[in-house]
Amino acid sequence: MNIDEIIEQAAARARADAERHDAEGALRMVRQAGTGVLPRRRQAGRWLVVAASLIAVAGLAVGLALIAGRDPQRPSSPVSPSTATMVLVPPPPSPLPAAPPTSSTLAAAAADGLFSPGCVESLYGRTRGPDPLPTVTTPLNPISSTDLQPLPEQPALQIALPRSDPAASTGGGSTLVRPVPGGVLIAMSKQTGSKATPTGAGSLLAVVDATGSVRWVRCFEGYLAGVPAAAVVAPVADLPDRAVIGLRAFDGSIRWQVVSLVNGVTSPLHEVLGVDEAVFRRPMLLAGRHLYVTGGEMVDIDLVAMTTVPMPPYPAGTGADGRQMVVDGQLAIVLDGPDPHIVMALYRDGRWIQDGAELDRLLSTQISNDPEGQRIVATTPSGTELWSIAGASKSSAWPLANDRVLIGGCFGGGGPGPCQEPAVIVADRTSGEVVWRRHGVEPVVEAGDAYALVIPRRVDGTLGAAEMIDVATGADAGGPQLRADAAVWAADGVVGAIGPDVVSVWYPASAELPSRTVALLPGLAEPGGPATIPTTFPAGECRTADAAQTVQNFLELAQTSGLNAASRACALAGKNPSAERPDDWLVTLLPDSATVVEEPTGVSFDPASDAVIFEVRASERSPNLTGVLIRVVRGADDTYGVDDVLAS
Amino acid sequence: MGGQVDFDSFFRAEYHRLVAIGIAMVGDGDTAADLAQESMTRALGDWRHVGMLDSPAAWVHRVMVNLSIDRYRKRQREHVALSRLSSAPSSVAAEQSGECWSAVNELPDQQRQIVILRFVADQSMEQIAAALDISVGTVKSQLFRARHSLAKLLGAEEVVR
Repeated sequence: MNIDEIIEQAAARARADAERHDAEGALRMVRQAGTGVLPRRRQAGRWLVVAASLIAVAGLAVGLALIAGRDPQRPSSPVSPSTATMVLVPPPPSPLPAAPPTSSTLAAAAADGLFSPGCVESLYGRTRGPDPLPTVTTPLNPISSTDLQPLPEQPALQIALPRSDPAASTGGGSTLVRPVPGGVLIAMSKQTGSKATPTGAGSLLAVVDATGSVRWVRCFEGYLAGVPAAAVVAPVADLPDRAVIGLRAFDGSIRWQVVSLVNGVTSPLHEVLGVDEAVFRRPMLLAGRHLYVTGGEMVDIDLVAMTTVPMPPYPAGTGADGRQMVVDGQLAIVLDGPDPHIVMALYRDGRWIQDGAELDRLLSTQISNDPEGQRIVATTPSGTELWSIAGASKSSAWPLANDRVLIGGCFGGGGPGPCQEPAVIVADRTSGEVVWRRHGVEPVVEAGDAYALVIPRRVDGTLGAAEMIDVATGADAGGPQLRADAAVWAADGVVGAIGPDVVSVWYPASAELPSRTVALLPGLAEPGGPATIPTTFPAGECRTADAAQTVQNFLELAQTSGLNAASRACALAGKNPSAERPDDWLVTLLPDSATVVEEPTGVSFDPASDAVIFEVRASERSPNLTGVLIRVVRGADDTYGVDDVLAS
Repeated sequence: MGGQVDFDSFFRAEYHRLVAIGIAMVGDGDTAADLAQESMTRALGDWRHVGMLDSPAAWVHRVMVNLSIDRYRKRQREHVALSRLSSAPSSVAAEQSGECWSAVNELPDQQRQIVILRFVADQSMEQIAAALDISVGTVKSQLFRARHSLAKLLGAEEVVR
């Protein structure tokens, strides 16, 4: 494909995805916001303290860092002793406002019927009695809050997740898992209605202790906003017993809540902050430690207070857009120049800094792709090019100790198709000297000063199982291989893999935690128990298949189970038996034996003919096929074969 | 366009296009929808002025692009982990789309704006020039440079026109 075709194809996909968003609900939201509920404030020049109630939200910055893993471009700063140790003991609850638990207003019928088994609330201390808090007395010392550590072969937790209830849910949804003191926070959201036109949503929030017990479960109406992006803000060092969540109603409005990680009690964010609820009725973005309420104004929630911060006037000659970041624990605003890799000014300590030397001292060297040529380039914040790597492009860069940087990307082998030379390198950040290079791995999930979690990438672009490598040498570090079909995350030295049915959580081997299985809800089989495959599905509805879903495995499932074709197809969706070339089997069944197609991008069920329809996109090797639908039907002998190529 | 445009009609006509712009630029539908609402809220807040513009759509597209660029920059730091958190791409096509927009986001701001407005918002060279307050010639030259850069980044053929 030429470049225009590539962009147009991507644009078409973006437009198709956009059509799934509810315009009428958004219009109501905008109308509501535009009625002057919150006066727009665009005056600049001063920092205005609106409220200073002690708040439990401390930590949006650290929270986001937890969510995001690690800030790949942030200035390196030493970890303070207070945060360098991970302790698995839930802290005593810090006082929430006197507002009663709001489960009655947030828990909703909308959550019922979306999960299978259904979501059942259990607030710690209410439905489970006055038992003492479950604690883990084994401290994970000494573990940096940002560094990966060697992992044991077996996960400490295998948590069985509820499925979507096929009678009510589209099957779509999101799952987010983050470490919290004493365990992990799990946030799940499901939708009702069809995938194209969702009619509602429900969510589940829970904490599972590292000891293997479910601390509490909450059920909410609405979608956990932005899951898994940024809406669930995990706790922070100073007030680690709570998190902030945003519940998006179907009309687009978001209710921000503070949830106690100790007992699951929620309180509205505005009540915790002691501010007018109208503050949070505006469209709002959550980024770092800031909540952006309107253009030109942000709500800065630091460790103790909420402050609205009008943007300071920008110095002459700089652009209109600033980006906010935390430099050495302080809020800073960075103005980029025409070249986004050059910083024009930095707002810090109430003043603008434009001196190049000072900028270079305060901000770290940027590792970026040079859009003018295929190379990775390292520049100082003020724009001095330090070094470059020709014929390469980066996907991520991770600052390391000793002024080194780990870079994952494509290092040569240009041309059409997937990157031919994916690799990870470690280089000297100042000189660019490459310390080591490891071929065939990329992307990088997380990198610390001692270890990195990387994913092998085959030459055809498919991904393998995540594995740990030694950052000093690039050699294998041993430990488990995390399944390729799972979404792998790492935070605070804890590593997890989110599969369709099970979340696996590895704590560092030094913690010596036994492996435990947990069912998140009553009635849910623990991992390793009998498989539960839904037997009925709404007509025509089925989850989009994972990239790694294979026709071969569909057949295997179809031929070994007594379920109908729809059940087989839908049960298959989301599973990933990691076949090497999943399309090979399909290729053999196509009428044109010379045709080669990529793996299916979707699967649906035609109840009229008891047929499964695979959506297959054309590959460069089969340019005559575009948007092909392949109908696979069950024959008289209960075997399956390609019945028709429906469109091309 | 001329004359006052009904906001609700305008919203319904442009909302999905704004979300598409956001998806292309920040990669996440929920965030894109938030940004689209923010853009529309701004438009509504100044609708007496915006509604009288020749092209209110161009105005709101530009707001959306700028908000998305700002958001994207904030996201860069969290990019890798989030891309894994949001689960594996649902298809090879999705991954390729992601690579395409990642490459677009490596472009200088103006080139990025032009590419998005041209390919996602389907704006003409003249509309883009008006939206960005630059000449049509600049739009063409910047688009040429953008396509050249993207072709290199993505390992694709350039189209000589």
